Amino acid sequence: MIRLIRFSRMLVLSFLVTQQTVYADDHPIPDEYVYCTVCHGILFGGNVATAAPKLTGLSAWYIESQLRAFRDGLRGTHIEDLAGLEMRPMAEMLSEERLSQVSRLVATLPNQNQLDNPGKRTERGKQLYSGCGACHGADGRGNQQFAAPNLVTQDSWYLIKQLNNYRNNIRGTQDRDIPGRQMRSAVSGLESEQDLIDVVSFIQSMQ
Amino acid sequence: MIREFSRRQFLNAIGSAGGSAAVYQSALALGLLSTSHNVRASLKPVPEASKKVILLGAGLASLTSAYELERAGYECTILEASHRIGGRSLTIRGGDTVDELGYPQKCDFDKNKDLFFNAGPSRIPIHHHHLMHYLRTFQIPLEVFTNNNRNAWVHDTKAFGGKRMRIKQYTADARGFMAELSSKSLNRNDFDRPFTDNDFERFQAFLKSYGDLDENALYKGSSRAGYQSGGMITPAIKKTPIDFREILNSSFWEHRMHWAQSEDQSAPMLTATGGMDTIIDGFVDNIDSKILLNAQVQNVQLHEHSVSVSYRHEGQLKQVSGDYCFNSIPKHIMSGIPNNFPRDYQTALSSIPRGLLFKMGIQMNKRFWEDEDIYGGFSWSDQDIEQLWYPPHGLFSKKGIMIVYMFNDEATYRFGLLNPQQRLEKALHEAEAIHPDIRKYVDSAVSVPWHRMNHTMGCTAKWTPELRDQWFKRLQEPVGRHYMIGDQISYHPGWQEGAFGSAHFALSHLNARQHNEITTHVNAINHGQGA
Ligand SMILES: Cc1cc2nc3c(=O)[nH]c(=O)nc-3n(C[C@H](O)[C@H](O)[C@H](O)COP(=O)(O)OP(=O)(O)OC[C@H]3O[C@@H](n4cnc5c(N)ncnc54)[C@H](O)[C@@H]3O)c2cc1C
Ligand code: HEC
Ligand code: HEC
Repeated sequence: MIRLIRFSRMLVLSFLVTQQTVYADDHPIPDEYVYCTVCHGILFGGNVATAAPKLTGLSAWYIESQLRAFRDGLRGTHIEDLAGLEMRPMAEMLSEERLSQVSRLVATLPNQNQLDNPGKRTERGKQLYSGCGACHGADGRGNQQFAAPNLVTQDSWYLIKQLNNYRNNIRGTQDRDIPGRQMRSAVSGLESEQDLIDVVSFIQSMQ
Repeated sequence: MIREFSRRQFLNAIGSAGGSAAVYQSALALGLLSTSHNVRASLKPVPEASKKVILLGAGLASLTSAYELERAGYECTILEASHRIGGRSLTIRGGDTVDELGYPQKCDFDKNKDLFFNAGPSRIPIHHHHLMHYLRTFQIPLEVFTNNNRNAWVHDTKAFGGKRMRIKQYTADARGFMAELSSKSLNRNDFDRPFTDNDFERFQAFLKSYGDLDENALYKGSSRAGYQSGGMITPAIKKTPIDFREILNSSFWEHRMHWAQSEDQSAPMLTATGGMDTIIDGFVDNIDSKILLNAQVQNVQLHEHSVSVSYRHEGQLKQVSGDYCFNSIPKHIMSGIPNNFPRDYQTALSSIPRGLLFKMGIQMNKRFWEDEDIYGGFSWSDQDIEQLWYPPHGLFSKKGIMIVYMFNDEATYRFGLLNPQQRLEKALHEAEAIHPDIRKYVDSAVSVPWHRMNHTMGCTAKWTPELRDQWFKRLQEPVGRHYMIGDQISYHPGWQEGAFGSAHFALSHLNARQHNEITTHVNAINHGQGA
């Protein structure tokens, strides 16, 4: 009885919307992808508290490649990789069509959030980055030919985490994961936590 | 003299810790903060000027706030991202959708009033006074909840050859041995004055009684363990005590044995008849405020005299503003929602880790546990499944919902990685150690990993002592006209009482500032005394 009352109340309430609509022509995210924003933040701005990175600033081809990597079990399978393991079922849920569609959609969103760290140019950072530029570009904005993503719009917590994932054999370990394996071999020059901080600060200073 | 000030100045001012602490102190001094026994919010009628409150989330914290605010004449709007009201207070029945990110499930339980699954709260501790107050106000039907059933089983992979043991036998034997050993090792001369000979004798007697020892202070088994046989028309035969070393090897005594004696778990406890969401119904039936469902908050902006909130609804972005905002969105989700909060406040929101909890409801086509003299309560295992619940209601009926509940982070993590079918498989595999035939009785199951539920992504807020020192006050106090609420902003995260307590804190604070009993930051800034 009580449950029936509650249900009818819910129906009535959904007609009571009287608030004004704002930024109607801004970037509303279609209903079917709203759930992504529960973790990745509204407008995909990233959320350190759920460990889900900012996705704005990334190209559609890279987003798509990562969704495929998660879906096909190339990423997010290591037992210690809570964040990756949490993302994997989200990609598994996507049909082929949706997978491309959401990638294109996210790539069109404005990159509006400030970085969590303003970045800093140090000699050490520059030196460490010199090996990265070959793939990620001298400006850090990525190069599709090498499957290497844009790095300069990403928050430092996530860049450091991913570099550690490569260093600790959590990401880029599987035979079929050719881009991941290439990237993993590129982290051998990063020896200490300080190296990670220096190279990431340098990357962020290029924004 | 009211002078113009920039948004930045305003934000700096409301962000100043000194100012916030001052508000808190004066509220305390005025006795405005509710204690556990002062459960009525008793808000004064609202002044005409500022009476619109926007509440974010439709869990217990927001619903309580709206209920109290309405009664004082405030106008409330509640925005809820989910398709349902209630947040973590979730009771699942046949036909319901389980909104897990990645593995949305449909519940296939039979439609029957007893076949429900409290996936969130089930237990009502009687000293949770705000909760009891609302239960009484709404006349919610209650029944006793069995939180400790001595007839249920202890299973320990490291003891008793992995064989299940009745909790009563384990407890009686553990106490018996402990009392016997203490008694043997006691030496009158070890006790200094003022311990008298009489005290010593009394203590020996205490041990005998505590452990059920014989006249020579030896433990030879106890009826407390349950009889091996007989006792009615044939003589009672006691059980042979278990080997004390086996008890030591087991891990049950580490915490599970004492669990039902802890502050919030001790008998008697209550539960809501027909499911805990009857409490949500109680609020909803007594609230007139608008509750918008499927309204995900997208942006929260603090202004000098108001708070504006953007949200998506039916595919469009809308905006609403109010004089105040009560925000119960889980802090780890709020930290991903654009806002103009002071930086340290935003840091605080993202700094408190989210907890993991996991529950699974399994419909059994036979109440096979009743054949083992088990009615309610739960068995314990040292495997991942931890607690295996037997429904305390619907006794003698045909079917029942068993619950697997785990709160150990690692176990929960392991279960959360699996898909629902694999989770059921793992749970049954482990449960077979307690009930070898359990698979025969399974109809269907749904599982709820709270750290992956849509719009929740965690329970319980993981405050450490250091995080408390650093951030608790900051988040408990308002920032401008915006209050964070919910069990997350309490010393009782993971309990409904925490949600009520936090709401009442914010309500009393709001009441005091509305009636000029405390000076808010905004006033302080207006008079040029800002930080
Ligand atoms: C497994 C489990 C067992 C528990 N057992 C007990 C028990 O036995 N006894 C007890 O007293 N308590 C228990 N609890 C705790 C109890 O459920 C909580 O304390 C209480 O429900 C918290 O209410 P709340 O309003 O603070 O938060 P919530 O109920 O989490 O409400 C927050 C609301 O915000 C909404 N939201 C999220 N994002 C947005 C957005 N962007 N826009 C709008 N809305 C949003 C959510 O959908 C949700 O409805 C248990 C909890 C769990 C998970
Ligand atoms: C349950 C939370 C959650 C949801 C929902 C979610 N994600 Fe993720 N996502 C994550 C986490 C956590 C990571 C980081 C994984 C890691 O650390 O390796 C991630 C990583 C990603 C990445 C890789 C980014 C990079 O630079 O490496 C992409 C792309 C992505 N998610 C897209 C999506 C899309 C698109 C959706 C919706 C269809 C979605 N996610 C839904 C949690 C989530
Ligand atoms: C050989 C080419 C190559 C070099 C050199 C290289 N990278 Fe990469 N990097 C890649 C590729 C390819 C990927 C994407 C991997 C994938 O698809 O999983 C990547 C991914 C990353 C990521 C993860 C980004 C994300 O959004 O998940 C980071 C961080 C990164 N690289 C940093 C660096 C740094 C720092 C260096 C220098 C020390 C470096 N890379 C050198 C090719 C390279």
